[in-house]
Amino acid sequence: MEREVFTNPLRPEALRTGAALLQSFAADESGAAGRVPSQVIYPQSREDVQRIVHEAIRTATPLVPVSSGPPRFHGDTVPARGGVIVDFSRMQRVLRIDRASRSVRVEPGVTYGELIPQLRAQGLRLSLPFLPRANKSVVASRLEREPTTIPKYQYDYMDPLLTLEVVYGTGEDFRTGSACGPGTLDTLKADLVNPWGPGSIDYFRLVSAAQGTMGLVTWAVTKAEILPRLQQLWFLQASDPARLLQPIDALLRKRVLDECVVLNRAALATMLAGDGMRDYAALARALPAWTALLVVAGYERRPEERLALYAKALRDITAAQGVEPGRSVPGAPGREAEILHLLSNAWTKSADWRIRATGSSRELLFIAPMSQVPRLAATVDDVAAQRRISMQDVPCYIQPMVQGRGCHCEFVFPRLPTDSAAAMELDALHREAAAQLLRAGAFFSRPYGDWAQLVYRDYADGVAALRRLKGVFDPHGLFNPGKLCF
Amino acid sequence: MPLSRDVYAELEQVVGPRHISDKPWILAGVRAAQPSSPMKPPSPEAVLLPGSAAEIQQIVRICNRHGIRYIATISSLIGFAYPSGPGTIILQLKRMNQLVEVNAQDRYAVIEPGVRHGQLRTELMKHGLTYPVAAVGPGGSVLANFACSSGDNHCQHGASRTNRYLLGLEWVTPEGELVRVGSLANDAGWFCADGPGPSLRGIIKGFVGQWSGMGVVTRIAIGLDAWRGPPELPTQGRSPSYRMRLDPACHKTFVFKFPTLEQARDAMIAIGEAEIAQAVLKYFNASAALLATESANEFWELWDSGLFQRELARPLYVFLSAWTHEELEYEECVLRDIIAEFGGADVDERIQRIYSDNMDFYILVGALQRVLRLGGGWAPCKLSGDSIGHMFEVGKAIPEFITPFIEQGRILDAPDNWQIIPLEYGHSAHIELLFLYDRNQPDWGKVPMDFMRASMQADIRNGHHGTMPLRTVAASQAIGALFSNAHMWANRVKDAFDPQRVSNPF
Repeated sequence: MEREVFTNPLRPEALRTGAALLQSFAADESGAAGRVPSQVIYPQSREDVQRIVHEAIRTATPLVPVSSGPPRFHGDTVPARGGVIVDFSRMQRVLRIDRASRSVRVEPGVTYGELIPQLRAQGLRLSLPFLPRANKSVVASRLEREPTTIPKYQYDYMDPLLTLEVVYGTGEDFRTGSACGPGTLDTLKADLVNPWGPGSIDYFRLVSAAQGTMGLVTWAVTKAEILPRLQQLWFLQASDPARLLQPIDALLRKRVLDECVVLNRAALATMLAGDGMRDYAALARALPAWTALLVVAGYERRPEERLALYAKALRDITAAQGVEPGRSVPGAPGREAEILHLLSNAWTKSADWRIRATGSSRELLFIAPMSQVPRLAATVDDVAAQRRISMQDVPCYIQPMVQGRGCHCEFVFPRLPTDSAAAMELDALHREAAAQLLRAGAFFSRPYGDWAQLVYRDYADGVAALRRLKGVFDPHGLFNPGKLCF
Repeated sequence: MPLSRDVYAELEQVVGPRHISDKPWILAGVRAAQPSSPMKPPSPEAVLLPGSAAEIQQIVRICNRHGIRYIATISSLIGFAYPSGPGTIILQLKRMNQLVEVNAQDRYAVIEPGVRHGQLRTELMKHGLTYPVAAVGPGGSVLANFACSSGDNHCQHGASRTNRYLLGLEWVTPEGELVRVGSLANDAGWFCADGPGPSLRGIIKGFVGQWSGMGVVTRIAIGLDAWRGPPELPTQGRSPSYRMRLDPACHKTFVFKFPTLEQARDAMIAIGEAEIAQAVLKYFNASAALLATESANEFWELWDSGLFQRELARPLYVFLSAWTHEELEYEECVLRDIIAEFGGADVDERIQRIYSDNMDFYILVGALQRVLRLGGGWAPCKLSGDSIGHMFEVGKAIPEFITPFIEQGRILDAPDNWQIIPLEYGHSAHIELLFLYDRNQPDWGKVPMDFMRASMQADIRNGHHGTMPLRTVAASQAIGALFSNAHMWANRVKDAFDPQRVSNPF
């Protein structure tokens, strides 16, 4: 029986089929094996998305959602089985910024580059991922449980995502948490900031880190925070990240810190280098092996007093831990204002900081309790040493999460797109390091690409449960097939 | 539908004869109605006391084979812990009461269902740690509170609901598989609830838990916060008149009153924006009077004086808890600025003293059972969450439906007996209305349902997210369509995991 062809259910201008465009979705930085999609469709509303899903059901066509612009790193938007790309970039309305509830409701096409200035104009800010690229979708970032740089604002790994609207694989739409009702969004007076439920199920968790396999999200509400009146940047330096994470743990227990991130010298040099990375080598030579960037802040009431109080707490607590904080970045004095600016804005020095060095990179990322991260990070160093691969210019950043009870660790391996032998060697390192990390106790909570096989291989009961859920929310198996355990 | 001898024997083989019973005098103890509820639950067919997850798996599989319903419970403080129909067995989990691990470095504790708040909190304070403790009293199960029921607590302004603190967990599915959820999936420890990939944690608990309607949670980890108090609570006096004062250099309680609800609301928002205080509450006034007195007569004397109605109609309770004296001074300055800006004033000294003498809200609200004293009938209503602003909107509309009940004498004349508790420094808030009624009234059994129906109707009429839809069949069919068809999706998930509908269906 001949399969029916997906026919554009929207306006003519909502569909594109140019060969170059289609080809651009067939691969990304991860090297994931994919197929060229047949079409790219651009919805502009929830109703558009529902029409697309109904047409996909009729024609048994896979749908692969994409919200952020390139470069993409995880293979999650590369169609494993062909199909249609659902590109949300034209759903780019900021639907509401609400100062009183400190929240913002946005469509998936809204990017960090667009949203940050709009919030700032209203005295608000987002808790940002580390140097998010300007064209990164805010909704996708929140859905993927990306770590953010202010752990005190994060109470669990879903935070700061609040409510959302989703179209499931049946074509039905659904609103989560306090957005569920009563009634329609036109009659509901709630501010849509209670993420839990409705009822006994946390529906927002089921679409998180799902790589678009559980539903197509058409808007989401995320937390915003009060824009500080005053900020003060402090630095800790050490030859070993463990020496930095201990005082950071003590500081986070007492909620002293706003932004807080630990960088190796390659990461900090990549962040600070000027145009074309010309001064990268000099910076990398001058910077300490590891640097912690720590921010204390004063808000709208008595900002000077708060800043002084928390700066003193920072000094007292770090002194008790035997480390001395500084106000000047070691190895790059005078760059403090620039660092604060970079931490508070979308990255614009290049397409993404991760590909700054060579134009391409592969990421290795995991989470663990903060106490375990130095040991696990050393595992990656060991694997590289065994393979005689230098880690000298491999940026690594360590991001405390969830009040410091967890921690994200990410290595960014630069790759020369033209050097296929080196790329193969890097792929092998990447695979082996992931396997070793898993054995050593790292958690790949967002299992992209090959990692999915690793993490689900010995998780039969969990996989069975996930597949039951998939059967409920995407009964035709149309959403991004071939990803995760689906 | 009594269990057949064969099925009983099968179950007995799993737990041993000492840990199963169908004796009438044993069953009588677990079918007793709650004093404030008119519902008379049918008797369970047997009560079992399993000792491990493996035993629970076997029991659940037997239940699936024979179509027997099961309910896992510990404290049985809520109606869902009792059978909704015949052919139900009770799994009383109190033998599984190990405090498995306290990891002070990574700030989590691993517990079994039988661990009680009184046990866990006392232990954690010795490690300089604490967690959000619900107002269920020291005998409440921590696991049930975190994984299976509600999640709000009185100190969540500077923390959050327990929902955020649930980490890795072990779960016996409705059909008897043991699933490790979160970081346990890959033997990566207990620290994370979500993943790998889409979070299975989402079907364990939503705004509220599944009350054993989605299998049995046998072991959980919970996240811990640093505790600013001493290793042991410095209590003075005798039960029930304890006094508990923390170090005044770092801890201080305040109760303010406001001319309007809008001013109280704006002050609450401002306190959150300033990121000060551990606890902030617009608290109940009648319940506060009950907590402040030791007998019904004493309550009536106080209530009839009008003091609590006058002073606590629009209050804000604030508990400042700091690491240093300087931090406390700073927070108090900011707090005073806010209270002055929004027209607040100190309440009568007699009320303030109660809270200066009982700084630990866990201790204070642990005596919540005192509300039963007044006539045996009380129930919570609303029980929802959204922004502070929206919760005050919901609260402001309460007179719309409460007035007839008061005028007809069906409930205590206490229209301001509702609370709003912000969480995560004011990012959202919880509302709860407590109404009290007298079981000596002839139609007392109808009061709770009539009242809750009127409340829900008002919310629907006003577009207020004042009540989360319950998952009972009748409620969900009646109003589910107004809540994004949540009942339909919940049923689909239930069917996928519990096709025989044996895990506490209702």
